[in-house]
Amino acid sequence: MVKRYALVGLGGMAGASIRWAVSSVIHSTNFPWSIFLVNLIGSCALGLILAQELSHPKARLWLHDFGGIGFCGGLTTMSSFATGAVILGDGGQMTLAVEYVLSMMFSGLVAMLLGAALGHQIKALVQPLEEQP
Amino acid sequence: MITALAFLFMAALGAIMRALIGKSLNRTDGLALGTLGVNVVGSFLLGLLHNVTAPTITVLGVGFLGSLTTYSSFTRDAIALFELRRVALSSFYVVSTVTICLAAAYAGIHLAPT
Repeated sequence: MVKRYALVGLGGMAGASIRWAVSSVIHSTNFPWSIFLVNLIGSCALGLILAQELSHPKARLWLHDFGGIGFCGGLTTMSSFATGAVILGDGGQMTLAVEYVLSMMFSGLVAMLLGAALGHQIKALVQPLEEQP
Repeated sequence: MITALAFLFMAALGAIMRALIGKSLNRTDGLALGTLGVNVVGSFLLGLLHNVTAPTITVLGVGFLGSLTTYSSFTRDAIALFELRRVALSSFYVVSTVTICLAAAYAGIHLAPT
């Protein structure tokens, strides 16, 4: 049980570090591209990960706890998204703020669906290998 | 160096808290109240840190609150509800999460100490 939370913590460290690195590299001029990007990639990756049904129980837990809850959860963020949108609106760019919120909502859901669809394709490739003696 | 270590520690703590709260509050019928809760609280707290500068904002804002809140689980929960054909609940979850988080961030930013 403790080990599972340790995996979540390690995944969170990895995901948050990448988010920090992305936001240091991409200097958002007007539109918060770095948060938009990590939220899209993280949603897609979580869809992909949760579609896997690895037969090895340890590998399955590892992928779910470290990769899914830890890494994807740590990589993506709601707090920076919400404050970023409010700051845009407060700064007089209400149209851009509304565009940011609506495009994030829509493309995040699409990214999750794409990730899940891609994940099912990968699962179909991986499972026959796993079932071999 | 100290900032990086504190960042990693707080990022781990945020992810573990999110997992623990999700485990106890996310309902089996699919409505993820735990995820909604951490996202709302995290958005409010990040708003309160609006005038805080680095390295504190890096450790507490980017590390802890960024890791505590999540966008990927939010999209996952919304799609999962949709797949269970609970379209109304899914739409309610999406709209309420975004609306309440934006309101919480707004309140936090406007209550933030200068």
